[in-house]
Amino acid sequence: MSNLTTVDLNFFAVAPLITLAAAGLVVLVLELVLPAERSRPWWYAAGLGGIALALYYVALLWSGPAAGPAASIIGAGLWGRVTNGISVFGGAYVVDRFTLLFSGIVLIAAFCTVLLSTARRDEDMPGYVALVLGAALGMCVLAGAGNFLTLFLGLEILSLNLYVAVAFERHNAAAKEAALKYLILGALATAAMVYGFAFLYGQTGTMSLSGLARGWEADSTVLMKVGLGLVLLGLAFKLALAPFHVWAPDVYQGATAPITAFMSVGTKAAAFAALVRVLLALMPEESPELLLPLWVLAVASMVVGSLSAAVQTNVKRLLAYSGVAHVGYLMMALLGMNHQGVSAGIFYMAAYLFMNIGAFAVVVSLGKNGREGEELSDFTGLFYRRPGLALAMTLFMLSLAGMPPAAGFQGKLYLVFSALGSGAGGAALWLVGALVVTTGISAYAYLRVVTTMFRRSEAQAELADAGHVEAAPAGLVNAGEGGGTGASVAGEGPLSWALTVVVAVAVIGTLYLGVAPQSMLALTRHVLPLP
Amino acid sequence: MFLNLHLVVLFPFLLAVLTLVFGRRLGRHLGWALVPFPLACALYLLSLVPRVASGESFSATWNWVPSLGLSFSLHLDGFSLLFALLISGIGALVTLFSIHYLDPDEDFGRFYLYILLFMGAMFGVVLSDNLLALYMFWEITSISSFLLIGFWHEEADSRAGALKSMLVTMAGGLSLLAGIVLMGIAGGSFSIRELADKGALVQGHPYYTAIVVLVLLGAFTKSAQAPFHLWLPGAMAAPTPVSAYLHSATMVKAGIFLTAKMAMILGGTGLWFGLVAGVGMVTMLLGSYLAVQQRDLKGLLAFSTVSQLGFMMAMFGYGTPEAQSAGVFHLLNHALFKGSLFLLVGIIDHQTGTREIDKLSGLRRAMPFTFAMMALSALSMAGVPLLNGFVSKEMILAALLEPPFGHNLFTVALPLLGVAGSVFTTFYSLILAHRLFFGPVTETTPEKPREGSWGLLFSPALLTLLVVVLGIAPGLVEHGIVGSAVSALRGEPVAVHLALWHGFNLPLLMSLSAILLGLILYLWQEPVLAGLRRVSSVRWNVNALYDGLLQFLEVGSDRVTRRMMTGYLRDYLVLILGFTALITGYALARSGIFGFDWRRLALTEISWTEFAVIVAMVVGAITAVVARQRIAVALGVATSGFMVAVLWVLWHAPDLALTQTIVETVSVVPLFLVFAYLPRLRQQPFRPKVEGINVFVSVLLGAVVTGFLLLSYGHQLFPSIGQFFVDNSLPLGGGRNVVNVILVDFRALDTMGEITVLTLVGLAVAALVRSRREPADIDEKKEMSGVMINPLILPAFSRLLFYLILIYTIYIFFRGHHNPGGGFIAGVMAASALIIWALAYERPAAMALVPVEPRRLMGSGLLLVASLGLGAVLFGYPFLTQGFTEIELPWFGRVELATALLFDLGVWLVVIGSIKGIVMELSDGRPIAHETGASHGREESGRS
Repeated sequence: MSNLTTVDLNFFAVAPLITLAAAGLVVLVLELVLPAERSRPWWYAAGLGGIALALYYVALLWSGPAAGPAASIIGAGLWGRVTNGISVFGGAYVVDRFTLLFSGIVLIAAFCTVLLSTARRDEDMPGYVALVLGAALGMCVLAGAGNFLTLFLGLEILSLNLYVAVAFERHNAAAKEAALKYLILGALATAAMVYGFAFLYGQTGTMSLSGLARGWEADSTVLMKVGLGLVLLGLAFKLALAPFHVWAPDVYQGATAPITAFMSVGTKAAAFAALVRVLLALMPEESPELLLPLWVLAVASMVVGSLSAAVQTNVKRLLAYSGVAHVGYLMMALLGMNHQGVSAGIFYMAAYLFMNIGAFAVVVSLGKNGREGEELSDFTGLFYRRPGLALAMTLFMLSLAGMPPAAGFQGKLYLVFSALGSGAGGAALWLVGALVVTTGISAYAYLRVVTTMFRRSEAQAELADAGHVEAAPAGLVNAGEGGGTGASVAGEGPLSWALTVVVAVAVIGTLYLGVAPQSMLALTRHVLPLP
Repeated sequence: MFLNLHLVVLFPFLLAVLTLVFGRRLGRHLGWALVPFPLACALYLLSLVPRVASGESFSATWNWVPSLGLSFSLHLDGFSLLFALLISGIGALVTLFSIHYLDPDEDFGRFYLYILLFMGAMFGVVLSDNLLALYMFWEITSISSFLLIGFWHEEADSRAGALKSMLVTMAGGLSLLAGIVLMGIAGGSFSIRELADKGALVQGHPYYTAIVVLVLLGAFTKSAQAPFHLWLPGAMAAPTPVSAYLHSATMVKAGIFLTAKMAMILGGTGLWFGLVAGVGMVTMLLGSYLAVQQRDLKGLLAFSTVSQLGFMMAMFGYGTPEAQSAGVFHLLNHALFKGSLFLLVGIIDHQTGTREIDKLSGLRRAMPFTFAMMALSALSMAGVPLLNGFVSKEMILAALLEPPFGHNLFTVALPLLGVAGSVFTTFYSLILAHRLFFGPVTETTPEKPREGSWGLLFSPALLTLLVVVLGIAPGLVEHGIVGSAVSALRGEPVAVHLALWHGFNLPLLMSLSAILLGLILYLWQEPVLAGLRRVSSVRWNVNALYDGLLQFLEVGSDRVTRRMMTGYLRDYLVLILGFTALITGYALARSGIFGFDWRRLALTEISWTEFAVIVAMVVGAITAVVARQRIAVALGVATSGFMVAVLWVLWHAPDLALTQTIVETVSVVPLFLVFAYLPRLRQQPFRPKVEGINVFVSVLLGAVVTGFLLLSYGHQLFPSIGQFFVDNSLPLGGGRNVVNVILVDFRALDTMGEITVLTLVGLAVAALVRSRREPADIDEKKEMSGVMINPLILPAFSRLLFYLILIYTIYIFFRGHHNPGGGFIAGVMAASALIIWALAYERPAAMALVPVEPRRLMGSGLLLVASLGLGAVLFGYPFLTQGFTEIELPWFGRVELATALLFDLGVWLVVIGSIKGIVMELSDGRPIAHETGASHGREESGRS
């Protein structure tokens, strides 16, 4: 019955997705066929390899091979079209530079997450790795959704994987509680979103994002508004925009730090991409006031996020609230729905990727005795124990606070310019004003972490007085880019190479985007057909 | 020029990286290795003085982020040159000084790393032509200052000071950034030089007032102007060389620098004059007033710096050529004498171990050189003739008397403030010059006073030498330095005249009277200080404000956070749903839901039966909400569900009705089975406020959804897809039951996916229940208490019922293709028969009835469906294509022999298997292990 032959089955265009799915299966099969002790390294290797291969495909789709065997195998017809975007599977999935950029961000985050998880010794790690791969798959699907079904599919793939991943610490009641909250509230948001799809479909008769705009020409636009509003609600939940953010702190705290890191970056990136696509398809140009609720949510997020972050003593919670504020900033990219805004949004996501993953990597590396270094007190005197790590964390915190020369500054600046240049008038000024004020407030939260790291704990101070810690800030020598390499000093074991790699990547990324943002901005230019 | 200027800015950063790598190897010799750099810079810049003085200026541009308007473009004019000279010259002296000052076991590498970062950033601030680049460097100076203040981290006040300085300057920095962005919008450029040409454009822009306020907030916070002076004394926790360098000579003057530069764009208006001059002079008086009361030498110097910065600030508010000359010259002089004073205080601290004024006296004999230099520098600060401070102070007082917009009360008050401030200046200068060094020789210092080493004395000696030389011959810098700086600020050549003697005039009189009054106060210092301190105990300082603000922030955010983040799911739900309902409700109200034409609903066409069903539904729903026992809740929910089935019947949709009824039954039974394992429903005490909010949100949400439905009522913009299925189910699918044909044919792929999910759910639930169950042998006695087994009636009837249902199931199964029925319904029905059996007898009996394990049932069902699909592929059709033919069978009538029937069989197997699996596991009777998990996530738990 189904007339599948007319559908454009371009499997190469979805090669990154297929790779991720296959890698997830490989990891699970490895567990079946090999004894745990022998196969442990292979789980990670397969996961990392799968993500790396997916990244390779993303790069390949971006540029296309100039010549050589790859071009002949894969069929050269595709190349050169990606710049403008191609739709495959009957318009269900869009592969354009926008999709590829967000896939890249998600995949880098997933790669770092698996690296951060290598320290876990549990038996069920293959499931864990497969969940990360599955969630990454969902995020990539979401970023390239060409119609509501794909959008829903992507959202559910990522959510279902994450629900389980959050609950992965089986003996941790907090993790289970977090997962349950996430599941129930998430289901609510998804239901609202599907309800919204129904309204939009009822008004336009199409599920395809490209065909939606004509609904505004119909006699009743109220239903379009209702539909748009419900879809925004669903995405706002995934983005953790206030007041739909209530799940985020509990879930971030309950989940393990690598999963939290992945969730905070990947979900935000994917949901933001979907939001851009929905608005691009749905926003009638003549009525920008329709998005007023979104601006209200953005301001609320900035205020609530930065205020609540200021009093947290749990670093994961702090980063959760910080994430809420950052999503508020991110919304400024949508003010004008133009090239500059989208470019600013992508740049900000990239900056957020590095500084946030970096911060979580530090949390992971402070873990000991089976618990993570998530309390503020774990950071006390870090500078004297692991100066490199402390300096790296300082960089991440300053970047989150939006201080130059870190990436966060360039990102915020670019957002401010795009907002002011959007022609959105009053809304833009309000958002910029809120950004300035809340940045000031949130700086307090971040600087508190920094000063804590520079505070010598009582025990350390006594040691220092007794002259035992003569080489306290040793390792500064190596501290520059390598981050954790200086950790071999005071008593605590050296960081694993995997953590070192993640911290180093995050430091380099944060600095590079801060000092030389031009190259990244060039990538983000004109990735969508926008004014 | 490109290379040289950029080198000056970038080289410190490069050196900083090298310091990171090689710093530890060099130890304290690192300082010696670094001194040549600022020295070379200073010499290079000095070599440019003649060319700059002749009106030349240098620029170099380096595109950085063109899309942001951010470029790394540098511009060196007379004013920047003066600052660059201060940064490099004093930088060299401070580096030299620190080699001897820091303890040998301090971490030199880190210290110089921060100093170098600061130096590079400071060069960037004064040389940048691009305002955004300037801002970046501006913030890096804040960060490095933060790191340097925290250098001696062991001390708690060091950290508090560092945090305070960072917060205040960062808030100011943000405001500056906002001002810069607005200025860029108003003027269309971020280049200072281009904006200076467009001054009128910016000043005429509606944003002008906002720009001025925002930019000045940045400058005032950086230069510690009242009421933001609070961070500078706190910053004195930094090592003394740092204080000398950052918090006196260079960084705090960045605010002055910015004000002077911005005056080219924004200055010349009453607003600018009033704000800058007013704040400057108030700061001048307040600073010197607070300085005399300090007991800590560095505190005294800090407030003295605040006061002198106010003096300079006011000059750039006046903006007349005379005022600018005075400001520029005083800036230079202040850097010299204050730098020297800081270093000398550092020496005293280093040699005696204390900075407390009360503990220090009679140091004259032990530290003669320190005494001589201190006396000269302090007296210069007081404005005593023949020292450089005198010349510039005269000029300032003269400029104060010539306001740019004529005289009024305000402009008369400003010089008076200046004189009053100068009286206190003389007072504290005398404390420095006299009180420390005369009187009885101190016995109370931690270390016995000795003169500092030559290495320590060299830097202040050089600065003091300049203080004297410039005091006697100010003409040395008249043209080359001060003249070209003022020319740069005015954009035209200005002839500056610096002279020692201007004749007897009003400024001289003011100056002399200030010195005289100060001397008198100093002689009477005991009662005067006691009186002043009593007045000041009402907290003149703004620290209380700062602390209060922080506390307000903490308390406020704490309250916001606690209110929202209770950790309870139900509160989160209320928040999310309530917010959604509010926003959508508002939108609905705006879209005219109240104007809805109720006649369109045709309420009269609702029959009484429908009405009764709906009432029953509502009652069921309400029961579920208010019931206090789980069973009642489940029954309430089930009532609503069954009523829906009745509605389907009334609306002639038997297939739906059948499905709905059976699904309701099968889903209620497991609920009952599960209840046995759950603890009793906890009775919450009635809380009117909470319940009120809940009711409100629920009603609102219900109203909003009703509104949606009303609005969508009657909107069908295009034909339903349903007609296609009705038309094609017989010709294409060979079945008259459209629903069934859709399931097994049109949407067979979907169905296959669904039964796969069903299988997974069945397996997962069974696995979950099994994994949590306590081992059977431990708790044999714990009987299931929730399921009532009626020992007489149920077993008797259930046997009958079981077979009846089973037979009927077969009938339903086969008729499904044309009439209501089908594999799904048949499967659920058969499963419900099993449930009855399980309820009536023991579990093993029910298990034995179908002696196949659930997972095998489900697996074979899936396998059947999958192989059907693949079979179609074998015949060259797409996956899951169905074929059919019809045959006559006795009793059943015409039956189709369709592959769809086999497909239905697969569905039947999966449904039976999954339900059997779930029910069997749940009705096992052995208790499930409970786990006590504390609720987390409440904000209390996130706090120490």
